[in-house]
Amino acid sequence: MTDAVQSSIVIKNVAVCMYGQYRTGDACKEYIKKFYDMPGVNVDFFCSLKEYETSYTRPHYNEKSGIKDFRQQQLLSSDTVKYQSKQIHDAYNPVEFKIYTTEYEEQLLDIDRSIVGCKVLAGWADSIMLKQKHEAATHITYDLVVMQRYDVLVWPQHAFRTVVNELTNCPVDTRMSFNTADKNLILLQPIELIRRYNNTFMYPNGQDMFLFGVGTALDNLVYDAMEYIPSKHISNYSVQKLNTGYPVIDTHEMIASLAKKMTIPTSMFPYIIRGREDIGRKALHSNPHDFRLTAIAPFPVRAEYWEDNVIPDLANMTDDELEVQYDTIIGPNWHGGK
Amino acid sequence: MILLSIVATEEAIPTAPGHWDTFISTQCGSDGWDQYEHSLFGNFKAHWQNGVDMYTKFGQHELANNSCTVCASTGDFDFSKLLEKFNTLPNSAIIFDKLRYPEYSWEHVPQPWPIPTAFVTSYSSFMKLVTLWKWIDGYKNEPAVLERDTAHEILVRTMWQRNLQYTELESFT
Repeated sequence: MTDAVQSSIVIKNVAVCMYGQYRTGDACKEYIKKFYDMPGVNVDFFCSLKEYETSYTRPHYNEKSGIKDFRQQQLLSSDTVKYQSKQIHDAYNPVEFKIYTTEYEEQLLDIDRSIVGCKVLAGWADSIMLKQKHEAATHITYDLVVMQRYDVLVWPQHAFRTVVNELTNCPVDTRMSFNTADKNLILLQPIELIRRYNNTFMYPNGQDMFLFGVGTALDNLVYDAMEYIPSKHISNYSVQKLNTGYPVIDTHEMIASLAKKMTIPTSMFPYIIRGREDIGRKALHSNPHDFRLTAIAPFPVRAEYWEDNVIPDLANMTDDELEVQYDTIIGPNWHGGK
Repeated sequence: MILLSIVATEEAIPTAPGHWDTFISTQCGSDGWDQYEHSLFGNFKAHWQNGVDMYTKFGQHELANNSCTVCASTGDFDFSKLLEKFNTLPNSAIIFDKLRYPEYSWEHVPQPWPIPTAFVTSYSSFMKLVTLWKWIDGYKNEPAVLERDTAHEILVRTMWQRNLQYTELESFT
């Protein structure tokens, strides 16, 4: 039997581009640090931080908190931003760090309409461009770029390491593999509740909480995203913009629309074996009903999920304990709008 | 806003026009990718470095929404005709000075195809195109993957793949 033909994808240098609002970052940072700790792989962090908070995807929380305008953003105090910046530096030691400022927002055309949608894209662009700034200055390029939010955990804890191992030199002449050596590949997770509640089976659906871009994929993604970011010169909502628009239910899952327009090969993250790392070169397992297999699950962490508003020590839970938390508390309350 | 991206070579030290913000990088060399003749790799890498510098200086809200035009060249170039034509196109399109040469020509034609050295487009489309150098660079661990490729083919293939609309100033019949 001949040897398997392998892709030329080798992952030794990884950039983790963190973006958006810090929110419950304190409760997540220890878990995130452990999540990206992988022997033999260099991981650098690039951090863009927003100086405000929004909650427009949380209708029950907004109702309880008396937030009536769902576009409203609450500016954080300078002390809070300073504190969050320090926490980020202490936890991740970022190679590049930048605060996304709102001081010139009045200059941006149609910014009121853009707060819900296009400002999400602005966070992605800033974090990925921080990485490119470092690449240009040092003449290094990253094999894999990950986008991740400060307030998001990804279950199970070996998901990053396992998928990196499965991507590296994966066989391209067999079933159940990524049959590509294209260093322009995206792995993402759909937002299941949007698919379920909107019957949008074929709608491009991929969320921004946690995704992989091999090679140049996320660079290309944010170049296109920049066509939809609030501008000082042209409104995002002019008639002329309509010829390049997307079908979008929620901007947070616009990743898949952008990837489709840019013809970036895209796949959902593979199912992985529960409790075991790198089980041997079968990225796309054939039997999703196999009880050993599990989907990778990114989820936002919010204190309101728990009755006492206190987030438990998630970083020191086992995968099984975390799964119980997800099934009984996190999932129902997240999907319920808390 | 118009920004100028210039690739400087030893033969062509540009004199930047004073009325546009100008970014100059030195041609980076082929770095072993000699099949991409006429310096596609080296020129695009230098343009990409200029593009990152543009973002660092101006930020996304100046460059967003196709509101920023980038004029790219190697050395001095008069962009007036390209800009005049660009203003009649969708602002995400790329207009080259010369993208291709006629099949039959009296003038010397580098073989197999020349790579355009002057073009105008929006910031987003500029970066989508010139980041091609980095995709090529990703194969340095296995260069045989690209050994049969050519500069013109990868250029056109990339524009098709990235959904970039393009045209040229000079047409041949």
